[in-house]
Amino acid sequence: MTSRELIRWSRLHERRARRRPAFAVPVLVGVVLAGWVWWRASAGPLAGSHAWLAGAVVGYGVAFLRVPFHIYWRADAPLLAQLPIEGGALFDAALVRSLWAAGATTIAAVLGAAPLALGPDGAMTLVRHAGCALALGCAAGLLLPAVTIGAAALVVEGGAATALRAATALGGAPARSSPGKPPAQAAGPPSSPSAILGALPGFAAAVVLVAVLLLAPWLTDGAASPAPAVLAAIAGLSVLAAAAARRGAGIMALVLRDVSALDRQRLATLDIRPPTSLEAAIARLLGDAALPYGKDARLMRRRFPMAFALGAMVFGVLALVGVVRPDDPTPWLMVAIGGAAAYGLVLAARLGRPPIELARLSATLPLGARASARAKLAWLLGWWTVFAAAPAVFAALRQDDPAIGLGLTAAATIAIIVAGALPR
Amino acid sequence: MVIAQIDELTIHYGKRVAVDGLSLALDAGEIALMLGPNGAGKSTTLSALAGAIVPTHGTISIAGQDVAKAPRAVRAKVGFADQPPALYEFFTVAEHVGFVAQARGADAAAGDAALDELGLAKIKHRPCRELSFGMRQRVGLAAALVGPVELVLLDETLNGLDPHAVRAARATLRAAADRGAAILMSTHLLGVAERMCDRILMMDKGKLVADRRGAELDALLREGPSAVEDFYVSLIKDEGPT
Repeated sequence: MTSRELIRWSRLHERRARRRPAFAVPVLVGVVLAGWVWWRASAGPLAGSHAWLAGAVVGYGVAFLRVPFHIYWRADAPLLAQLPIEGGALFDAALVRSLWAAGATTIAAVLGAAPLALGPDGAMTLVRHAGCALALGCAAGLLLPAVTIGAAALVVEGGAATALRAATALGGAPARSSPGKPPAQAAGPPSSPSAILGALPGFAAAVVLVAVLLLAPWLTDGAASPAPAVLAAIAGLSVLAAAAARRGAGIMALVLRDVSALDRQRLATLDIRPPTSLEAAIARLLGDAALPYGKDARLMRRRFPMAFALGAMVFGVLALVGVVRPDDPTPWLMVAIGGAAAYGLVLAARLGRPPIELARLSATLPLGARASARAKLAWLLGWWTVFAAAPAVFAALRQDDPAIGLGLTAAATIAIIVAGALPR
Repeated sequence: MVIAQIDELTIHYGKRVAVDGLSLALDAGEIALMLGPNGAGKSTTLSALAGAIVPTHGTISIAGQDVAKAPRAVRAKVGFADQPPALYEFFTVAEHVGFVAQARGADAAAGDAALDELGLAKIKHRPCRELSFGMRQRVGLAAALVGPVELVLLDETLNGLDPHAVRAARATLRAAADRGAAILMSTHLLGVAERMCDRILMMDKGKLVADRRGAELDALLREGPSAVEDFYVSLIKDEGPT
């Protein structure tokens, strides 16, 4: 099967699986971002630019996180791995998916920057922001897929342990070795090769985002700086990385097979624990929704442990903003609260799908639809309150002008409630 | 006593008619076997009885209650093992069956009892996602039987079971029937099923084309080891999938 044929099949399936027009969500997100930027720009072009940058960082952060799901963490990965399809075709189809997703994010980001054109030197300001969005789009559509496939190739070819050891040594962590034993026989639990799957793309994403954050002053003042060269370098490097990955695309079939097997293996080991005391307390308040709530809480904890890791990170960032009280806390609050809200919306959707909700089974059990909906809303609000809303209120109240932080928290909370209450 | 009453049941999938004017009554203590070619409407009928599909026309009542008017009350009385069984992959076997038991108003201990009865006690702490095909079928069966169910619906649930498991399932289903439940099971495993059924229903193109029970069924079964298969072939032409 040629690349063109596989891409055609893949696009056909995605078109049919999609429930709304392809660019409806990016346009909607772009309009919301534009509204936010327009409101912030009334306080000055710098505030508007910061608002855009914060939104763009959240948007592209999500796009970067989703790259492995366009490549190998897909329902069809084991099937594709079994079929006699050339690695090049598999790579091309994965790259096209990543490019579409990056394109959608870039549309939202460029639309969101539109109000900046209304300010002083507006046209050039808009061009600079759009250029930044394009560079980030190249990273999301070309660089991250290349790095993700490279990381998977390391796992498949057994170089992951070496890479992890090197990374650990670079990071200054003490080497895990016992006297008289070579490093391979070092004491302690073995490093998980799957860690490299997240670590390398995560590192690449962090480098790109930090580089863009450092360019923030250039976006508004346009003063001579290496910023255009940095953006061009990100775009150029992305193209080169994708081309290099395409040359080694023969490994894609192995990547699909081994990574999906690794994923199954990892997920098969479940941490079976009873409900936490907080979950038990919430369940007691829910009446007839306690049973579906208990089910959702246990399944979410097991299936989406990342929700708790990311939640803890958001909690930490917001607590720090509250303690440190930076001069301009708005972008920080925007990134943390907006990012948590975006992830909360994803979780709201996940709550209504397998493996958390089995519509076929639920349809045959005497569980009320309202109780089930209440259970999901309770879980979502519990997660949001503990990890985002409570520390966000703390961070906001610690600032000289708490209105922005409180407003953001309120808006995000409303969005979470609406998403949690939507019929599934 | 009639447990399930179907009157003029018709179900359309778009323009296609999956079930066409089916009328049927299932009695307490009866194990009925539903046969028919792929696409005959067996699974659709079972799903409608379970309340998972809304009929286009017709009515279904379970233990005297209309499925459309009192869906929640009816669901507490119906156990359905779907194909493939819908299991919470991130639950253990005991948690999954315990959840279904509690949803039907029984306590979690009822789940353990159902697992013991089907010889699944040893795997009750294993996550569902680790189970083989046959094990998943058995867990689906346990979930269908747990709690105060009066109608047990099994959609090809005996497929993939080893001989010991089939024997345990047969004994458990007979015990459930003896307690007063009606059991309706679709299958293509004629040899396995004819050893346990009290009634054979044959469906084709959404219609009930044969219904054998009591003396008629005994006479059919006495005709020889492949009597049901011969009966099936004589009634239903092989026209490929519909």
